[in-house]
Amino acid sequence: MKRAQIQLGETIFTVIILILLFVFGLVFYSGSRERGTDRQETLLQDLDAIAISKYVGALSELQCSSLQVRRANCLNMLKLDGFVRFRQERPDLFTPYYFTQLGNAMVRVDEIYPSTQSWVLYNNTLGETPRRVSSSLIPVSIHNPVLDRHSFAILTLEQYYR
Amino acid sequence: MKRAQIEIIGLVFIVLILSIALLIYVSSTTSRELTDTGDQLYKSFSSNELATGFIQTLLQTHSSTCQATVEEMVIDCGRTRSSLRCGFSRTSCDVAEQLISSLVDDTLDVWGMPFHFTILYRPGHNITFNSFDCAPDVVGTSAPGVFLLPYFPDSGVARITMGFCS
Amino acid sequence: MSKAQIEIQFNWIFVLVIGAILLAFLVTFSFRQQSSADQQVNVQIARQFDTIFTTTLQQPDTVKDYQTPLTDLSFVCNYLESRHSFLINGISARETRYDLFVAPQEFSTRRLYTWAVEWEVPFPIDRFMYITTPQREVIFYQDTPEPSVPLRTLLDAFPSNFTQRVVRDNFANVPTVQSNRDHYTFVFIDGMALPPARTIFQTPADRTTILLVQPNSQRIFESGRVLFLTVQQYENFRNDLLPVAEIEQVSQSYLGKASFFAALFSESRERYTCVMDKALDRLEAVSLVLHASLLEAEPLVSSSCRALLIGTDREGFYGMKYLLEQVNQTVQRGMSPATIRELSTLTSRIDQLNNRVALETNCPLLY
Repeated sequence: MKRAQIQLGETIFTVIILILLFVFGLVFYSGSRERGTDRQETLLQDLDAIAISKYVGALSELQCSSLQVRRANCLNMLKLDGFVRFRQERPDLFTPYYFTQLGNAMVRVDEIYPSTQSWVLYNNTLGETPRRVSSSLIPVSIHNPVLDRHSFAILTLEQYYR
Repeated sequence: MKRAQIEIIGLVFIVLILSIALLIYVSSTTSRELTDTGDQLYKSFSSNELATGFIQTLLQTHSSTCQATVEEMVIDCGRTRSSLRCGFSRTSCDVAEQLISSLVDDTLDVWGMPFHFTILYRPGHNITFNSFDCAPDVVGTSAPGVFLLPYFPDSGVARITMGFCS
Repeated sequence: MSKAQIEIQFNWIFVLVIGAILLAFLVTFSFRQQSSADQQVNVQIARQFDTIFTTTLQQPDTVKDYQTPLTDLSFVCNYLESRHSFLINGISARETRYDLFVAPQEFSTRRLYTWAVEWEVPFPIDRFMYITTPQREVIFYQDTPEPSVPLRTLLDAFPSNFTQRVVRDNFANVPTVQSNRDHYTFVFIDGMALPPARTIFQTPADRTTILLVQPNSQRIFESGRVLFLTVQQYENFRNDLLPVAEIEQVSQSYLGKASFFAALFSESRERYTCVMDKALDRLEAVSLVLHASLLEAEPLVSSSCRALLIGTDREGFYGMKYLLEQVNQTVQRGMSPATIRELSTLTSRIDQLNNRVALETNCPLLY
């Protein structure tokens, strides 16, 4: 009887161990899939940042144009000033629209040459420390339509994720 | 008989566990490859975008020293006879080189991005900027940005290339 | 029963219990994985459509043709209740409050056509994106051997990939219910000899939209009015029996090519009005930015340039600044024929002034 009980105990113990191993295996598998999904999400967020930077650079309210012919990678300096002014004077109109397009992000244009002006076009932080920040830096030309000159600038986009 | 049955059940479990382990290994390897491919594509895409955008923006930039854009200075530099007056016996070649160097210092070097930038005016006459030992042969998976500026009405073209190392 | 027999029975009970627990665990796990996989698929499809829309919007005037898995799509546009969204298989995929998407309300498809057109009045405002399928057909009516100038302009501008046909006055290729399309949009241009309804409308009424275009000039896209008619209203209009009040109720104005095609692809007056209300919001924002940019330019330009941009104290001489202020006030009134009429006048004057600015030295163009 005692021997049978020991044998039974051994069997039970073996089966329990095997089940635990099986469960750990499944948990590990789903965990590794989740990590793969996280990496993909990061990649997509980085691609999003590039797409949004290009979107900002192509906004008709900022882009250089000459009698309806628009120029890529070029922002009109007066429109930049006007955009910042609009943002400051009419947040009621500015924020609802641009938030749907840009979300929690910061968009800034920094002139590098010949001078060092900066325009903060959009700034909507999370209100807490973001879990992740996705950045994109795009060289853009700033056209001064009065002097008809171009300067070198960088459009910086930072997107904040919880 | 009973012992044999239990032993067989044990063997079945072992085979099952090994199969699951193999499945997990294969699926994690595959997903890593997919994500690696995605990473590579992203780097290639973003490097190409940056290279093209950088050169496009650079060429439009106006220099008050020569009263010309970088594109005009590069073309002038490559021609047989230079026509731009850049003051204080400086040539368009000098001013273009200095301007590009300054821009690269203020952007790509600050960002810590290994890059390679070349203007080939004519065989034997070129200027190169690079950083972090990034040479043309180690430019990464990105297709480099390439711009050609003809010296019309003179013959020849200036070839501007830029690439990033991963 | 011997001890051995009892032991065997206990063993089997034990194995059954353990097996049942294992099975339950596996089933639960697989359901969770399936749910997670379903979510992933939905997210992937939503991302795919996001990419489709972004790609189309970045390349205006180019028609895109996409194959997708069979998907149920719906586009909600309700300006008064502020409900604007795009749903995939019943799940909201994107808020479209500020997107100028023109699409049928609900449809299922494996293939999607998208087309973006810049709305310029006269400065660029935003891009309309039209979404349709091969199963939605546009039928143009031509009453003369050669198409009229407005019809020719329309046919030339309409994408050739989209399902379409031209029906002549012999009615040889009138679509019938056998054509088995999801929707039919008939387009007539005012001034034509309109055919009797029974000769041309042989498609189910719930899948038919009838548009009568009344352009203000031979340049059909410049501005005009579109009437969204039922078959009965069409027949009444044809016989001059449609009351003016009813005409007002079924009509809506358009301004520019993008706006015209928004009326065509929206398939209903309500949906067209909704998307135009959104477009006017964008017009308001862009005009305010341009207005602010003029104020920034004011101290930097010559007096002759300033006169064009800002205006002078001289009675009746208004600069672009004043015109933009008028544009802003006009769009506040919301979408209506009167708004469009007023905008048409203002934008024409802005265009003339901008062309004069182009002749000045060092004077920044508004667009």
